[in-house]
Amino acid sequence: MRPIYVFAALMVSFLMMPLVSLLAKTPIHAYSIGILSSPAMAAFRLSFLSSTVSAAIIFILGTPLAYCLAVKKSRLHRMVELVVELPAVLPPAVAGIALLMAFGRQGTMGAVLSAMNMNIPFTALAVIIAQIFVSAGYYIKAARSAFESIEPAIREESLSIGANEWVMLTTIYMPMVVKTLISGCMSAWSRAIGEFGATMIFAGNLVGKTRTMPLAIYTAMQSNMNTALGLSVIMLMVSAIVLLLSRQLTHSVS
Amino acid sequence: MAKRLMLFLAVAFGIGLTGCTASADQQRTDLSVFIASSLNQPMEEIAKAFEPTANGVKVILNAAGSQTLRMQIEQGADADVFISADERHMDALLYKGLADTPSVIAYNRMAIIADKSADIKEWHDLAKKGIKIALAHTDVPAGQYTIDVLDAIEQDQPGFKQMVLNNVVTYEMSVKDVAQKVLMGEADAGIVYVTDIPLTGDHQARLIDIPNKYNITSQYLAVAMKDSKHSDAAKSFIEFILSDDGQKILKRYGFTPISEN
Repeated sequence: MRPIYVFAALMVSFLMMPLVSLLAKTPIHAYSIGILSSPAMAAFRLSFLSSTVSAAIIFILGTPLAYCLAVKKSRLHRMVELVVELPAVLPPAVAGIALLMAFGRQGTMGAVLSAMNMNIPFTALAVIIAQIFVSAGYYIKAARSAFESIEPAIREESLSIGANEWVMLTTIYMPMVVKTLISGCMSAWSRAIGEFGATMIFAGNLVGKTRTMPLAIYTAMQSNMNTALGLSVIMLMVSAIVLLLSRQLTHSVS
Repeated sequence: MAKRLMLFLAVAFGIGLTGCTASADQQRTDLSVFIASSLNQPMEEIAKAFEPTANGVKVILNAAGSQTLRMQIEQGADADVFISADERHMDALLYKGLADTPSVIAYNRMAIIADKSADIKEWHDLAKKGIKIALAHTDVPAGQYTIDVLDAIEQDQPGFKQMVLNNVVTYEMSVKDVAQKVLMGEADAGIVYVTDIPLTGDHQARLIDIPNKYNITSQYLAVAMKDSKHSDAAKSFIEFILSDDGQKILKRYGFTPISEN
C-alpha cells in the first residue's frame, strides 16, 4: 500500500469517527424528542430565521465591499481585507467580548444606543449581530475571488463608455458569478446557524428569544443527553444539506 | 522504507494518543480535582497551600457547573476528587457506585447582586417592571436554589415570583456568568451565591442580602472517586480542605465553614 493512501485514509477515518458515532449513539426516540419538544422548535425557528436574516444582510452589505476589494487594489484595501477576515478566525469568546465592548450597555456605542432607546444584549438582534460578525468574512472572501475571476477588460471597457460602478456591479458582475455568490451566502449562513460562543456571551440564553440551536444543545446537555443528541443530529443534517446544495451550485458553474 | 516510515508514524501517533503517560515522572502525582465553579478561587488557594504538604502531588483543578462535571465523570473523565455544589449530582454518582461517602466541606447561601446604577436597593425591587435580571438555569444547582428562594418569598407575597421571572433576560449555565453579566453592566441584577460577589475591587455591583427566612443553605460535598488511582492523595486533599487551614481560606472567600452552621 502506498503511504499516501494510508495517510489519506487515516485522516478521513478520523474525521468520520465523531460524525458516525453521533449518529450511532443517538437512540431513535431521541429524534422525536429533539424535533417535537417546543423549546427545540423555538430554538430551531430562531436559528433558522436569524441566520437567514444575517445572510441577507451580509449579502446586501458584503457584495459591494467584495466588489471594491476585487477591482481596486491599494494599501488601504489590504487593511480592509484583514478586518474582513479577522472576525471569522477569532476565538468565539473573543468575538463575544469584543461585541459586548462595542454594543453592550457599557460599550463604546452603549451611550449612543441607549440615547436611541436601543438595548442590544439579550435580544434577537444581538444574535443576528453576533452571526454577521463571525460569518461575513466567509461570504466576502468567496464573492471577492469570484469577482476577481472576471476579466478586468470588461470593466474597463464598460467604464469607458460611461457605465458607473453600481450599474457595473449589479448588471454585469453579479449576474456573471451569481451561483458562486449564492454558494458564498450559504457558507456564511451555515457558519451563522452554528454560532455559539459569541452568542452565549453577547446574547445570553433565553428560550424563544436568544436560545439558538447550539445554545439549546449546550443547555440540554446539562439535563438530558438524549435531547442534546437528537438536536445535534438535526444540526448535522441541516449542515450536510446546505453543504451539498452549495457544492451542487458551484459544481454546475465550472 | 516507506513501510518502516509508516510503522514509525503509527507508533508515534499511538504514543501521542495515550498522552505520554509512560514518560511521566514517577515522583509526581497529578491529582485531578473536579470542582463546582463557585469554588474556583478558594480552591486555587487551597491547592497551593496543600501541595507543599503532600509529597509530589500536583493538584489539577477542573472547574465547571456541577452538572457538567457529573456528566464528564459519567462519560468516563478521570477525576480523583469531585466537589459538588448540591446533593443531587453527588447522589447520582453514589447511586452508580462511582464514589465513596461524601463529606460536607462548606456551606453557602444566596444573595442578590445588583448594578449600583440600577434602582435596586432591596430584594422587593427585583419585581420592579423593566429591570433586566440574569438568573442561573434551573439545571444547575444555583438555579434550583434561586427557584427555592423565589418560592419562599412567593409564600408571603403571591405574584412575586412571576413578576421576577418576567424580568429575566437570560438563564446562564454557570452562576459565575450571572455575576459576570451584572458586573459588566449588561444585566441590572441577578441571584447568585453570596460568594460570587467580589468583596473588593473596582466594580459597579452591590450585594443585597436575602433574609434568612427566605434564604437557603447550600452544601458543598466532596468525595474521593472509587476508581481513582491516587485515592490516598485524594483523601488527604479532602482532609486538608476540612482542616483549619482549608476552612480559613473558604471563610475568607465568604463561604460558611462547617463549624459555623
